[in-house]
Amino acid sequence: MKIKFWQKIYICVLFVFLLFFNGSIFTIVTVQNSKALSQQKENFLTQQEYILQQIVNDMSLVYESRPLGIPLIIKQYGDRYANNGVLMQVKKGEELVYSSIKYEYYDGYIDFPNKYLQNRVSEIAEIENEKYFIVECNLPSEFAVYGTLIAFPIQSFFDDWNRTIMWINILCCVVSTVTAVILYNLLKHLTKPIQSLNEATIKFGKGDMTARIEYITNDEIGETAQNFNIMAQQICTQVQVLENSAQEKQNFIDDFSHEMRTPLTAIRGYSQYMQSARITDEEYYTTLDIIDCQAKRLQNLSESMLALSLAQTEELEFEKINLANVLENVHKAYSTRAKEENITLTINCDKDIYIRGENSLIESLVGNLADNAINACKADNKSENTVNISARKAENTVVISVTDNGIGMDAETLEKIHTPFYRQDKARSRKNGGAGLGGSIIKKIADVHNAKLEYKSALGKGTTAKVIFTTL
Amino acid sequence: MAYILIAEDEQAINDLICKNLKLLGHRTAQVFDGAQAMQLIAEENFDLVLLDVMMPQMSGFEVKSKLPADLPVIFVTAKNSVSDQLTGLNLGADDYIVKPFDVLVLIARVENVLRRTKKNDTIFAINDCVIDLAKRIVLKDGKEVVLTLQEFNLLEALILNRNFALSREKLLQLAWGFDYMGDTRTVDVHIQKLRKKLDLQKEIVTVFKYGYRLEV
Repeated sequence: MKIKFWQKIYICVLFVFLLFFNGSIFTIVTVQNSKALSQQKENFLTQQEYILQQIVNDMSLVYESRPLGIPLIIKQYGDRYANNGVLMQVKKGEELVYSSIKYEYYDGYIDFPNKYLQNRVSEIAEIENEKYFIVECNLPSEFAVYGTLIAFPIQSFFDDWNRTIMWINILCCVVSTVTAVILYNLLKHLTKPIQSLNEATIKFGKGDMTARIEYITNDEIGETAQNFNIMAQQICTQVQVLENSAQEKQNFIDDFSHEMRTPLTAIRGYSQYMQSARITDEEYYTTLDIIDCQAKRLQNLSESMLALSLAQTEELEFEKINLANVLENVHKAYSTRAKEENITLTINCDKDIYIRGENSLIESLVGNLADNAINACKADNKSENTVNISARKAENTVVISVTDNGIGMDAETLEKIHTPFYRQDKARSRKNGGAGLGGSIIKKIADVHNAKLEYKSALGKGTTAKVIFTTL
Repeated sequence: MAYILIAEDEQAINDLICKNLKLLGHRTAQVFDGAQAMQLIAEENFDLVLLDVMMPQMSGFEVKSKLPADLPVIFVTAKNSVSDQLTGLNLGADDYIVKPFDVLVLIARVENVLRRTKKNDTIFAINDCVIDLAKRIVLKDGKEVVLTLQEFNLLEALILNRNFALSREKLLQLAWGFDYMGDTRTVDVHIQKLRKKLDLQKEIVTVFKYGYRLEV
């Protein structure tokens, strides 16, 4: 059984309060009553002394002249006091002289003749169901043979005491109950914010990312609530980022596997076909050609993937690269192809232009840009196509630009050009064996070198790609 | 013989499937995107459609959702995730084949679907033989020829995979079943018997070091 925090506080506070409150009241009342009782006893003892004094005085007066008058004196006093409720019993030795108590109560002679009042014995006892304060004492000196017992009524004292106790009890009960109720409601109300904090946490934990705490109190709980809201927002944002990232990765994998499976299907399918079916010589050669083509496509794909992986590794060794060499190499690599496609490929390079980077990656970067430019020209149907690669120094930057007057890109393509496997014209690109990774490779290499990548393009007119390196 | 539409945007693969189906004697039509597929299906009366999923204009899933439920469809696609397979099958496709695929498997599945939709041929004629696969009767020159169970199974396997070379192991599997623990020599023996009984020495061709092929 779960006990809530505020209930714990409630029980503790209530317990402490009740304990001390009731305890104090009880203690005070008890102490008061004890004092009162002692006081009362003192009174009675004083009274008893006085009574005996009176009796002894009278007895002394009569003792010589009329010794037989003593019982009468005693009776006089006895009756008089009996009217006021004070009872007496007097014994001479074993012989009962007087008693206003209906039965024999008193034992009799106490053997301390010379010690009179110091040897009073007193107790509280019941006579006929009423409480009395009983004092036993011998008369002094010559009357020491007389033993007296005086019973003072004390029942009313106890009655009052009990009544007081009863009212105190009622008071305590009422106070306790009222306190309990008020405290309960007060605590419950004050700890409501904890409840809403708890609810929001549960809601969030169950997957409702929109759960927040609306009402913020001005205390530590309010602070916690505020922090919870901030944390929840952070988590939401992070989750979104992770989801996007995961989706990107999934898209990449889907596209990559499609790009890989398609040529594999063709290769396997046609190989099986050649094994199983009876085919003509012409079909024999065309089928082998198709297989070779598809294999080349796979080759391009794997090389592009390797380039992309290389660009993604973190341990790259940068060195000083002479761009003139890079451009020269790219020119050599692509000039034949450009000539075949009737494209004029030109290079412009400033003197002594250097950047810090990874050599093979930079060559790959420029190569891919050149490749894209050439493809753009191929897809175009202008009579004269040109591709220009240049490297220039500016204030504190080095800019490599590749310009072509090919088919250009529309807005959607410009947006998606960095997306892996995205192609402007799927059919044509695949026919050429393109893997579709060129755009993302270029972006990756630029990122790794902290360079900025810019594309400017007009559909039908051409494209300029710029890679801007900041020199150190 | 069935009229089959192949919707696949990769030229090479589209041609490949086409060639294989033609060997079985089916009639084929080719389209290269989803919109073309919808158009042609509306115009022609196909017995089966082979659909790629990742096509331009309209995806294979979208196309299927717009087709009548009684037109058999097999998805042939590189998308092999469980969720994609479930999507395809839940759309009511008759089968879902993942690339790269084994050609013989593709043929077997096509045959299965055609059989289920009763669009397959059960009667074949080779030279003067007529073979009814449903009734399991072989007539040569109008007269019934008695074949043993294994001989008929073997003949059936050859017919269903006509024009395709089948290895001895494959024939053993198809005609004798997966549990058979015998030698492939029994295949050779039964082939001899078939050739003799039905006079198909020219048609049942030995493929060197591989197996046999029924050429029609």
